[in-house]
Amino acid sequence: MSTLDLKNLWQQQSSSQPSIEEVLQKAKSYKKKSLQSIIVSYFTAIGIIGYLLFIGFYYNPELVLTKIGIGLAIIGTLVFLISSNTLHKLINSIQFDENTRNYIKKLKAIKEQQRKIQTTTISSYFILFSAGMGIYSFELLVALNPNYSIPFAIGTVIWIAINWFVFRPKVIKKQTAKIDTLIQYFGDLEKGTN
Amino acid sequence: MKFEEIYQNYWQKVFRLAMGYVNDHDLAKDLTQDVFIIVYQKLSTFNKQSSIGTWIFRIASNTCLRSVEKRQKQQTTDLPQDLSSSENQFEDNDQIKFLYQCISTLSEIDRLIISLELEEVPQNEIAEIVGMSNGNVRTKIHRIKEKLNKKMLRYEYS
Repeated sequence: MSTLDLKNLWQQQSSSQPSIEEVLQKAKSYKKKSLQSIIVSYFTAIGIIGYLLFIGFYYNPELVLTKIGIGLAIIGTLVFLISSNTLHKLINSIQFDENTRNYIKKLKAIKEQQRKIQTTTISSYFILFSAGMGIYSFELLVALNPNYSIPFAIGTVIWIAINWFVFRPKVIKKQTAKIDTLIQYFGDLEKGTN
Repeated sequence: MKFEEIYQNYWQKVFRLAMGYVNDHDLAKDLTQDVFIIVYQKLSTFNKQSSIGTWIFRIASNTCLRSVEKRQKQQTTDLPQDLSSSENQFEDNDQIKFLYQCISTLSEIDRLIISLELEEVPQNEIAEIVGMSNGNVRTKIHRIKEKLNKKMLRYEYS
């Protein structure tokens, strides 16, 4: 079969072309959707922080520990907001009209950064969560008889350790499994452009 | 160039490129739509350093490469590794289907290169689109065509 035949066969493939209005409509709805998701995440975060600040100032808790707890929750919310914002910027930073070789390189780098951000966010969440629980337990420890408080303290430390060394890696693995497949895939593609 | 004009001139070309890459009609149509959404959004940033065709095919090639993320979400059936078993499934007038299936068994970059070649994009522009040297692209095209011709001959005599 000659090249001409291949070209001829190739060009016989066609499909019904959607109307241009359909594409324009979709382009507009994509833009709207993306803007909506940013607004929703900002409003949610502002709402949570506002609520926590309201509790902190209006009820003015006597214990410093409660205030620290509120502070940690605010930091947790900010970590989430900053990380989702950074991810959004990162994904939008890629230029679609780069040549394929550079595009793959950048895509791989972005996925690696995305993985790093997600891992850091999960770790930060576990740190804040464990610290929150530790502070909460401290209040109980002080009130308890030393015969009970020591085993309770050991139990809490073991519980935090299990969270950090068992559950955290499991969650990270689950979250990053898809990204790892993509990093591997883009890595293989990169080799194919050499 | 106006978007409407680009849309009319390039829709089928981009669809064939996507079809050569994914060999799935619906997915190819989705990808083509994604390409034109990007073209519509970025047309004002087109700096005319390359031809409009090269620019569109770059966007199309990169969108195809990224389709793996789309496919991760929707399960697709893998193509058989040994095509000889599936060759007889085709009727005589299914040569086009067979050609696209043969192309889909090539490596991702080879799929893009041969699709652009069959779309009659000049080889120096293909090199510009994929970011390879002219010589490298030429060699690859030669090898891919040889491979495809062999498979198509086997199909004709089966």
